[in-house]
Amino acid sequence: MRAAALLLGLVLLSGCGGAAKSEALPHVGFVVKRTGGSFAQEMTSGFHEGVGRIGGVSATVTGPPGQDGHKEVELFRDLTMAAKGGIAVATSEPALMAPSIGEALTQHVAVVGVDMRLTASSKVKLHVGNDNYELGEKLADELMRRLPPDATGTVVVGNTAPGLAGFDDRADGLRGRFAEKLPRVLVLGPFDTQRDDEANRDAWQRLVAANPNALAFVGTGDCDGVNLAAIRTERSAKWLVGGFGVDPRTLQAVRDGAMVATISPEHYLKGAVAGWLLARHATGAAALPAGWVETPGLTVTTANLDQILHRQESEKARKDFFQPQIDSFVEDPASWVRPLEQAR
Amino acid sequence: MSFWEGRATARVATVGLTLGLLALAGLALWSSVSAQATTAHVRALNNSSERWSRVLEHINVADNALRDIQVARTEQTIEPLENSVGSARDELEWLRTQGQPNDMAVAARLLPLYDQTTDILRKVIAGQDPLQADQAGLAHSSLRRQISSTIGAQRLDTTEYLSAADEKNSQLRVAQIVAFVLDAFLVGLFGMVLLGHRRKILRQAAKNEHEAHHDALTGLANRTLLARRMEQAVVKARKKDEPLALLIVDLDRFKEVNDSLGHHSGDLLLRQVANRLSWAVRDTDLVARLGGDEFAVLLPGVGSAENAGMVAEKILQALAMPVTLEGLELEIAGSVGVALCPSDSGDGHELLRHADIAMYAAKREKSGVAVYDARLHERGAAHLTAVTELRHAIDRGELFLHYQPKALADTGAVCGVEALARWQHPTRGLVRPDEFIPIAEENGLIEPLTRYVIDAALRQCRAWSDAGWEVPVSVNVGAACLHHTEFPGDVADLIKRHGLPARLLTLEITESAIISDPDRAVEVLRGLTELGVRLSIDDFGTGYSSISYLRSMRVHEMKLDRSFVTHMCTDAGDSAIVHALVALARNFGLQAVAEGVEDQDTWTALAKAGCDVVQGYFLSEPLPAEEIVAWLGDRAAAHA
Repeated sequence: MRAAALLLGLVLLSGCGGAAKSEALPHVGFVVKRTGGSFAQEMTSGFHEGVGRIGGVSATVTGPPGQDGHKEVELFRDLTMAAKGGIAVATSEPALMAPSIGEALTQHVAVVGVDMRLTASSKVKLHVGNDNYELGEKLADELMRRLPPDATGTVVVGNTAPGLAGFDDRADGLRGRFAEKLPRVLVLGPFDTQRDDEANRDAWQRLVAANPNALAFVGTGDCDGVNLAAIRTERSAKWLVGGFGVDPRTLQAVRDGAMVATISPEHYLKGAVAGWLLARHATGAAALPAGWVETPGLTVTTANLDQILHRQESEKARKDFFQPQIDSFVEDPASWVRPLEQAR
Repeated sequence: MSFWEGRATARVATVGLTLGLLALAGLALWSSVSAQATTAHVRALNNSSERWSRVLEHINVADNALRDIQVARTEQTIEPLENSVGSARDELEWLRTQGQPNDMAVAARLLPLYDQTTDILRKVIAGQDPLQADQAGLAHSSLRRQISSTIGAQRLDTTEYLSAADEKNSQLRVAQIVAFVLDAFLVGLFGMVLLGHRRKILRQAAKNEHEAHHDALTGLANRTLLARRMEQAVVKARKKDEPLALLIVDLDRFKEVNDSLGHHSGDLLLRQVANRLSWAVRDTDLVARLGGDEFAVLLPGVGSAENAGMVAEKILQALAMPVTLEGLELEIAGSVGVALCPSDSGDGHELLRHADIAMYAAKREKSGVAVYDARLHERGAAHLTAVTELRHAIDRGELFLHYQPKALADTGAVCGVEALARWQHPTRGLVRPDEFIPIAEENGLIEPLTRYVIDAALRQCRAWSDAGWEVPVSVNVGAACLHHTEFPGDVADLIKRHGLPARLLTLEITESAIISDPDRAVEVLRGLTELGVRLSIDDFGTGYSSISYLRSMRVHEMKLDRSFVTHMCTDAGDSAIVHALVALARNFGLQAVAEGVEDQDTWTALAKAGCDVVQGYFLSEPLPAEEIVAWLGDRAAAHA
């Protein structure tokens, strides 16, 4: 059902335009790395929201159902033929995608990187994403709040996608903050905890077994927090768990106290910003800005959990939640733009 | 293309070529530097990539050893793991400190994890905690994926860098091709300019060569080219025994044309003569202008003197045709001297001299053509000697004057004398005027001779005056004197020097002297008249006998030529002419003077005809100055 809902090849018309007019409308696209994840749903919804705000632009969102870099590339290339107004790319394989992105740019199809940074060789000038290092720091802050100031011991960090720039930055942010605030705490890792849900759980089982006295276990990916919370519950362990994402299971773990905090990358906002910028570009109203549009993340703890749970309940709730931020961005997009070289 | 345009083009081509070559050299240098920078950068990237690959390989080896030890913990499995522990650290440290900026950041991030992994592996080797092996495997996996990602990104960066470098090099190549094409064009342009200059120089050289060997006025060969051709022809003639002839052609009375009609007409005449000479000879012959009105014709292979003479006659015939100069029709004639090689001389210069001598002989003898022989040479030499001696005689005062008295026809009273020059040659004795006067006229000595005679006559007149005899003296004036405006001034100086009234001097002129340049002659005669000198037209009736001159010029007497006077008593025609001329003189208010009176009857007839003055042997032959006084005394006594 979820996959079906992920709008593979979805074409939406913004405003009140009918299908008869769609052929004449500028067309933009969005390639996501995996349609099966909650993050993909978030970004897709946000993307349509952004495109719809401009109006008069059709949009297609596509992506492989599971982690499949080559399929991503193939879908991107196909979309290049249709979405001449521009394409947003949230890929898990930036290096694999780079040549195709180069070809698209050669054909004057604008490309925007979303969430994970694209390689410099792809020549994409606009990136919409979080400050992942800062997200890592936020999570570290939440963990440290629950540790004594003179705490000693080990914090084990896992990374579902080592080598993927944004995830590496999150791990770096965690490590850096602990080194700064609790230097006597050893941050181990980041270990490769795998993307696949089962493999991830297995990896964490082994890491937990190897570090029975660890102060905390933290993962950079969406599934890390979910599996860690499950293991902690299984073992009735006392160590802290921290993670990223707003998967319902993650939010449940927070509610249950199995996780002290999760950091939401706010994918909806990224999608909305990318969609709005691309649609505006496709209509010829304004060129795409060059640089890094930094979208903020959100720390989710029991303090704001109810609000977030409500937000995640419906599309409308999500839309309402992000309305002020999107309005703020649309009002002054330039103020959100930082140099591309600073993206992390 | 003009000279300045040519220079401008050459300058533009030079500057353009210099700039083009500099641009080409600059592009080549830029290309080289760029290629060097590209190579250095790619080498650095490769170096980093190799180091990352070695790091990856070390980690793979360690991971493989780890798996082996997980399967079976033996010494054989432990040792490889021991050996691989920390094996990648040096490379990572190098990349952290000396790698590319991105390498430094990644290596700095990986080193803590690598060090942790090393610690974990040491625990595995120590066998303290079997669970550490799993953790080490996950660490290895993390490291491998991050390094692989870095290597992949670096490969993309390298590809992108090479692509950009290739694009830049392509642009450089295009620029180099453009510069090369431009330079090639400029080289071509430069070459064209150089070739143009070369052609111009060659043309100028050819022109200079032509001008150096040809006469500017007529376009004929000049003396230099004649000498060269003659040298070649003489060699050929002697070698093949084919006689050649050299003809020297000199125009008669050209000086008169030049003086009377001006130099422009003289030049036109010379051009026409040049054309006629060229038409009159073969293409293989050479016509040259030696200078003035003197031409030379080289006839190679002419064969004989007769043939050469025929050519000379043909030339004279060509010259004899009337010439029209600016509406005036003239008849010209020439004299041709012929010399043959090798019979007359085997030397070109000598041949030229011989032909010249022959030409002078033809001119002197008025024969038209003269072929050189040794006697001509002697005569020519004698002529030259005579000229030299006459000049010396004038300078040294070897000439002296005889005076022939003139008397009034009606009373017989002496009214003056005519001074007649005589030359007492040291070896030849007394030389007659008709022998040396033509020499003086032909060789530019007539003016000094005239001045000499006037001076001597006035000196004698002064002497007679001092002795109590007022004897007017007449002096014949050479035609050339009337063409020099300074002549009246010279006469004035002489009169002043001797302190005599100008009326005692009568200058006898001929009509032909006036005709050759009437304007100048009139000006000179006016000057003489203003001095108070009396003017007499000599030999009237034999020349042009222009009545208009009698009217326009202020002359005082008309001198009847002896050819009419001597036989007037026996020849009715002469008598009629004399009567007419005397009547003419009287009607114009001129004194009529008859010369050549050799008997009483003639004197009586002249007196009866109204002639004013008579002169002739009947009265007296020309006498030396010292005898004149005695003669005058006797004459006065006889009439007393």
